[in-house]
Amino acid sequence: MKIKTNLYGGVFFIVIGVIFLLFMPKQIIVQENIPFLESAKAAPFIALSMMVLGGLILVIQSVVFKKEQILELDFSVQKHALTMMGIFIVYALLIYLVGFLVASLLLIFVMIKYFNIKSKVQILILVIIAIAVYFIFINLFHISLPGIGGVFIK
Amino acid sequence: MSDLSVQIFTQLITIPNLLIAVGSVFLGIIIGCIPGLTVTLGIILFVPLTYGMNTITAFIGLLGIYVGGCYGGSISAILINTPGTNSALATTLDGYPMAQAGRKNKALSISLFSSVLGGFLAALVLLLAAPPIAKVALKFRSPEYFSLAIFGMTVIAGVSNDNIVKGLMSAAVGLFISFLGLESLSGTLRYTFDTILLFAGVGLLPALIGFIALNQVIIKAVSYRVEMEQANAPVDNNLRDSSLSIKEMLRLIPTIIKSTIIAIIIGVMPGAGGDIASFVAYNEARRSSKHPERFGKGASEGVASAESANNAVVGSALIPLLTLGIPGDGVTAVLLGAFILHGLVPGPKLFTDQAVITYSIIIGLIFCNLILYVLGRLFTKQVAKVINLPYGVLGICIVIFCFAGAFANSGNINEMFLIVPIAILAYMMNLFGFSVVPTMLGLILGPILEENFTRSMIVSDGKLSVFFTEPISCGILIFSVVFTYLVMRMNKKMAISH
Repeated sequence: MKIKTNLYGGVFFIVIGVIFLLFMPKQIIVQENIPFLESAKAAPFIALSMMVLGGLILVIQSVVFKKEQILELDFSVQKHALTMMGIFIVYALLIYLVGFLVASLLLIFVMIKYFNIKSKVQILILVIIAIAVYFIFINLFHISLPGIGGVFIK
Repeated sequence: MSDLSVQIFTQLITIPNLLIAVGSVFLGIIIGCIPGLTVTLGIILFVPLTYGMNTITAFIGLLGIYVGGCYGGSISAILINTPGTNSALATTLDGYPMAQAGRKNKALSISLFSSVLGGFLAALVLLLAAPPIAKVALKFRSPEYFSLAIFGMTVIAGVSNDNIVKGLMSAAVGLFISFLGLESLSGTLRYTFDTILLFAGVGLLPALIGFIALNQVIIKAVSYRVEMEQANAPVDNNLRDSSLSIKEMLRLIPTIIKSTIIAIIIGVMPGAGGDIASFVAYNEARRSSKHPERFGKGASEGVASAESANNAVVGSALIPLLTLGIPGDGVTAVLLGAFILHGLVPGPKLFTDQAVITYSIIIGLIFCNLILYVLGRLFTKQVAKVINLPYGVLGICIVIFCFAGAFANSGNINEMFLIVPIAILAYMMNLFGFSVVPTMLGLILGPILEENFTRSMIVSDGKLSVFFTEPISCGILIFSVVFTYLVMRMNKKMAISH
C-alpha cells in the first residue's frame, strides 16, 4: 500500500491544529484585560498555527508541485509494530493491576516467545534485571514502584 | 579563585564520583557499540537513575555515557562496518577496510587514542572558552534569551532530512505538548479537558522516554522481527594484531589536532553534530594528506580524523549549552532537559550562581576522557562481544527501564501510562517522515521560549519588534537564519558525497 506522506501528513496536522484552535476559547480561559500576546494563549496559538501552516505547505507541495515522499506500507511488517504497541498497552495496565515485578516477569515471558529467545542464560539475565530494577528503585532511589510487589516488600 | 578551586576539587574528587565516572563511561562504550542503541537513548534511560544523586555525580554519569558512547560507536563501525552511533559513520570508511586487512586491533587503538585526545582537547577548550562567553551573556535579557532559544531551534535544519517544513511541524508538536497543563507565569490551565492526568502537563522525562526510547524499541523490534530468520554470523572479535606504537601516535597527532579544531568550530553550531563534524574533518584530512589515495582503503589518518572529531564535539557542543542554554544537537538537548530536571537552568548564570557545580562538571568531563583511555585499553576486546547480543534481549531490558523511569519521574502512574500513546505518536510521525528530534527540542525549549517571549511582550507593551530593535537579539536572529542556511547546505553536501 502506497501512502503520500506529505499529503496525508499535512492533512492530519491541519485537522489536529484546527481542532485544538477551535477548542482554545474553552480550554484556555484568560482574563479579558490581558493582551493576547502576553496571555497564556499566545504560545499554544503560535505552535498550533505552525502545525496548520506547515500542513498547508505540505498539501500544496503535494497537490500543486507534485513533490511527494511515498511510504510503502507493508502490513506484514507493520503488524510487528502493532504487536509491540499492544504489548506496551497491556504491560502498562498490568503494572497498574498486578505491580511492576509481576508485570515485568510476564512481559519477559511474552517477549522471549515473541523474539524467539531460547538461551537460558539470556532469560535468566532478563529476570535478574527485572528484579534488580525493582529492588534498586525501591531501596536505592526510594521510589516505590506500583502494585502488589510494593506491598509485598513492605 | 583558590577558594573556588578547593571547593571544586573537594566536591569532585570523591569515591562515588570516581565510581560513577568509571561505570558510566563503561556503560557508554557498551551502549555506543551496539548498533541501534544510541547515546541519546542511553542518557534518557540513565536520567531517572540520577534522581537520587547529587548534581555533580549525576552529570559526571551522564557525560560519561556521552564520552564512552562516542568511542563505543567506532567499535562496531570497525568490526562489522555498522556504526554504533551516527557520528561513527565516517569511521567505517577506513576502519572497516583496516579490520578486513587484519588490522582490527590497530584500528581500534587508533580510534581510542584519537577519541581520547580529541575529547580531552575539546574539554579543555570548553573549560577556557565558556567563562568569557558566559560573562558576555550575563548582559542578556528576555528578548535575547528568546532569540537564543530560536537559535537553538536551528538544530531542526540539521535533523529534518530533506524536508524542513516537516521538521518545523515536528517542533510545533513538541512545543504544543510542552504548553499543556498549568502555565507557570499566570497559573492558567491549558488543554486539560478537565482530567487530572493533564493538570501538571506532560512531564519532560516521560515525553522524552516515549518519543525517543520507547519509539526506538518499536522501530528496532520491527526490523529485528523481520530479519530474525536471517541469522547473522557471530562477529570475530579476535584482536591479534599489534596495537598502536608511540611512533604511530606521534605521527597521527597533527591530524587529530586539526580534526579537533574543525570539530570544535562545527560542534558549537546548533544542528551540526558529531556526524557532520567527523565527515568534514575526514574530508579535510584526505584533502591535505600526502597520500589521499589511501583514504577509503584503510588509512590510519582516516580513522583518527573521524574519531577525534566526533569525540571533540562532546566538549564543544557543551559550550553553547552551558553558556547560553542552547543545545547543539539531540544529545545536548537531552542534557539540557536533564539540567532542568535537576533544577538547574543552563545559561551564563551557571558560571556565577552555580560555579562549583559547573566547573566540576567540566573538569569531570576531562576526567571521563582520561578514564575512557584506561577502560578502552583494558576492555575493548570484551565489550566488542556485546555486538553479538540479540536485540530481543536488549529491547526487553529497555522496555522495563522505560516504564520504571517514567514512573520514577514523579511517582505518578499516569505519567507511566502517557509514554505509550506518545511512543505510538512518535512511531507514526517517523513513518510519515517527521523526525522526532525537533519534537524533543520543542519539548525542552518550549517553556524557555514561552517564558522569555511573554516577559519580552510585557516589558515592550506587546511590541513584537522588540526582538529586532534590541541589537543583540536582532544579531542572534540574523545568525539563526545564516546558520540554518549553512547547516542545510552542509547536510546537502554530505548527502551528495555519501
